[in-house]
Amino acid sequence: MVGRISTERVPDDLSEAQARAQLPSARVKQGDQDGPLYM
Amino acid sequence: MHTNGAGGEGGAEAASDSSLEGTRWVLTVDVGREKNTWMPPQWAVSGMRMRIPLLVRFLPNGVLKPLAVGSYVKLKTLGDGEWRMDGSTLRCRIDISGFERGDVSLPVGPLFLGIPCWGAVLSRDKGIATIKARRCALPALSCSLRLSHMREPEGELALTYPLGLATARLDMIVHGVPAALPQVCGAAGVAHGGAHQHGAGAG
Repeated sequence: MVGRISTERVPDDLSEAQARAQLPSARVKQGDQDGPLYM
Repeated sequence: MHTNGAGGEGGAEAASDSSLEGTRWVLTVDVGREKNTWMPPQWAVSGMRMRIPLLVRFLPNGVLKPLAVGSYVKLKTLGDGEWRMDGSTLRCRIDISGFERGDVSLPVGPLFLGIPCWGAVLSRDKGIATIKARRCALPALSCSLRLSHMREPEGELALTYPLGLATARLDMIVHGVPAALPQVCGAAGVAHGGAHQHGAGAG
């Protein structure tokens, strides 16, 4: 397992160009030093 | 990105009436270290995570068409993928070019997505992403591991680890391994279960 998946449906009335334009950019989340560290 | 419909209950997202065919979805892959992962110990150990949105369209005949990948990541999809319904799980396969950012990376190859579903209703955030990977020789050995407390198995390979004040036993039951394995394990410092034969019945 390398990660989790979240899903969100694109409205049918949205054109493909609009869907591409609204696609969020990739994001980096830095590690939380106080959070759990799964080994 | 706005959603279509009421959004459903329990974190579920309403899909089309009868099928996913023809619908478009944003599948966001949140890559990072997970509990019980078999990735290498140093992989994503910093806790950093990458959230990569994929815009896809579910086509008939199990074709998954990647339409776009979120910007600011050197990851590309390689051709069309596949999707199928497996009971209550939507299974997808997307070939990716791989990427590396810090200690988070994915190799070139197929990325498998498993998303719980109820008919054509997809779970909003319970899906998992996996890749094909091998670690040591475990796939070749085909063995199962069992953790028990102070138990004396019969004819099994046993490893003993101290866990705090108590002692737990990690028993490895090996299926279909040649008879030479006990000698190999013995050379590696693993106690052979033959020593437990007189302790049988200690349950």
